[in-house]
Amino acid sequence: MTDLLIVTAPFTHTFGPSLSPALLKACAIAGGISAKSWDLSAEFNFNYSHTDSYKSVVSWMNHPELKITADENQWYQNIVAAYADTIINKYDPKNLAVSLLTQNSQRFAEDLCYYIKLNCPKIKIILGGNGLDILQYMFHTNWANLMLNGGLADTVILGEGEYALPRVINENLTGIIQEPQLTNEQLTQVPVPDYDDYDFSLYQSYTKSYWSNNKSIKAKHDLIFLITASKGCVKDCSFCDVGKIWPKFRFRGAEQVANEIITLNKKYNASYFSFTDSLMNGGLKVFNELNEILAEKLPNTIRYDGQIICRSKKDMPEHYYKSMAEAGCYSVSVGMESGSEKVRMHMGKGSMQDDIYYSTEMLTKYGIKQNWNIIAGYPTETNEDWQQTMNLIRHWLPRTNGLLTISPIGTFLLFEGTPMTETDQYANLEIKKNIINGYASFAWSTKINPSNTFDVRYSRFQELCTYLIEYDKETYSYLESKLLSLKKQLTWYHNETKPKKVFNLSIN
Amino acid sequence: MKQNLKKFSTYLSIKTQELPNKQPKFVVTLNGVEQEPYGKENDCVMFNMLSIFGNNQLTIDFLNKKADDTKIDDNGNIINDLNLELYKFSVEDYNLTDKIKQQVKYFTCDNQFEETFGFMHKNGQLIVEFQCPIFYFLRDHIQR
Repeated sequence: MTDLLIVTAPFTHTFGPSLSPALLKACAIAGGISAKSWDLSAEFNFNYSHTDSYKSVVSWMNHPELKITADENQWYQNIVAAYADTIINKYDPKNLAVSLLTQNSQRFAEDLCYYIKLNCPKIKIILGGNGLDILQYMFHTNWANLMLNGGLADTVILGEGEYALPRVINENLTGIIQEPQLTNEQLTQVPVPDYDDYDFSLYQSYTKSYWSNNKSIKAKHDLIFLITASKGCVKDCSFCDVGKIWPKFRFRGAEQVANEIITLNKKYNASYFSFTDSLMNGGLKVFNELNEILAEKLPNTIRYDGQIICRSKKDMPEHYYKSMAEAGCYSVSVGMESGSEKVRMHMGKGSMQDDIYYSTEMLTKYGIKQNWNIIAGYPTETNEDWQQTMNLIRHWLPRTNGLLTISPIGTFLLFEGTPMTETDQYANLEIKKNIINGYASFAWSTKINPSNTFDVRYSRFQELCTYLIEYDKETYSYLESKLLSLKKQLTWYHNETKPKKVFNLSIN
Repeated sequence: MKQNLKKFSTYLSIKTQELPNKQPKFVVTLNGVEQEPYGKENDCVMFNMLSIFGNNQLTIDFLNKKADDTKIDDNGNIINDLNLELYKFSVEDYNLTDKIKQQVKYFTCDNQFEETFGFMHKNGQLIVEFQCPIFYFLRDHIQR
């Protein structure tokens, strides 16, 4: 028997060993608790992604309005029951911590907790992660309360778990634990993640598929280890809930982050790292220090990727990009979101057109791959704005030596917990949520831009995907299933919103 | 060990139609345990119970209906009757009446299955199956 088992809950994409169980295990051990970790989400992907039911079930986890068949549900329930059985009989933990990366893990977590509580109620269940306090419209409360009041969980940690989880176990705390943000000092003292329980062979196929998209650069099939150098964001973009989760931007010391990377390199032969930071270049000075240390202590040894925002030449002079390349920066994901400066300004991103051109040129010059996230149909976005997005993409794709890829994220979604829904700052948009059967995120409309309907947003997204697939079918063929999924959502939306037939019975 | 599982307050109200000289006789069980009514208001008999975590089964057995308890006038209209109706059902403040009425199983004493949406006009058993916590049950029965 172990004091604590930490698991991840599907669905999350698997790129490499999940960070949270390894990190929380190290934190628990530092707190005097015996702990094991199980990257259950990765195992689910690994074991079942080749099956017919997997795609439907995953699509349903991400979009619960898309229902599954009775057979698919039975397939899924059998899997959850088998995982619960393994937890109870193989691990036999006193405490089970379920880590949710996003709200897409909620469905699985509900079912796993149900089976565990039904069959072994003595196990204390602790939930942590993101999306736990999102309002569930149908039940007029948030998900954390549903889970606690329903007896499916004993404790919910809202906020960071590094110090809270050991405290919950050692002090036997129950209910909602609202954890204040960790300070820079506390973050810096967090131990190096412990991956000893991981079966790294599990991730090889995923690593291969990850790398297979990077056909422009011949890459080794390295395992991808996650690194957190900062939490929160220096921006407060209108559509993003990071500011609610982590109101204040905090960062770890460059020395400590470098030490973690070096330790993982020595202990597990880790040579590829992916930063979980909302923005790697949020704290410019510390980011540059980290790059300089890595370039000096692990020259030509590791590579990494992460998210950045386009900075001005003044904020991020050329030698910063040079240091990035020397430290092993392989690829960055850029929160471009729109080609329209007007839209980006409204979002709160603050990147001017010149910043985008400068950043794109620098990354190309230093051979760093870049991937732009693009959102279709921001509330203020007009057709002209959208064409600026398309033009920006058409301009840069052939001018970046094959280093640029585009990630169409989807149509603009109105999430709870974002400035758009939580603050008065965007009240002038007069957004109507158009909640349909409890689903609110995609069918919204705005009074100031009424032509921006869900159909229009879909057609913009479709235009982008179609262009990219035509541009490079090998790289962008994955968008076909994404388009299909959105098309299903659109059909469902039309079915749900079409006027119902009314029968008039008149008596003569 | 399972006694440690959470329990959920459950409310049931059964509407009764009586004859001048006869009251309907019925038994309510929850998970096999007979339940005592806590009161009567107008023509409704009320029960407060505790459902358990997991699957639950509620039954209502109508016991004393006879063929001549249904009084009919010369035109064939029912003018008086002895019957029961599941009137309100809620768990933890979630009113499930309409949802449950769609799903109840009613087996009459002559081994027939009838869809009467909670109305019992013959001796027989009405079966209500549900899961707790109720949001866990509802998420697959209504969209959220």
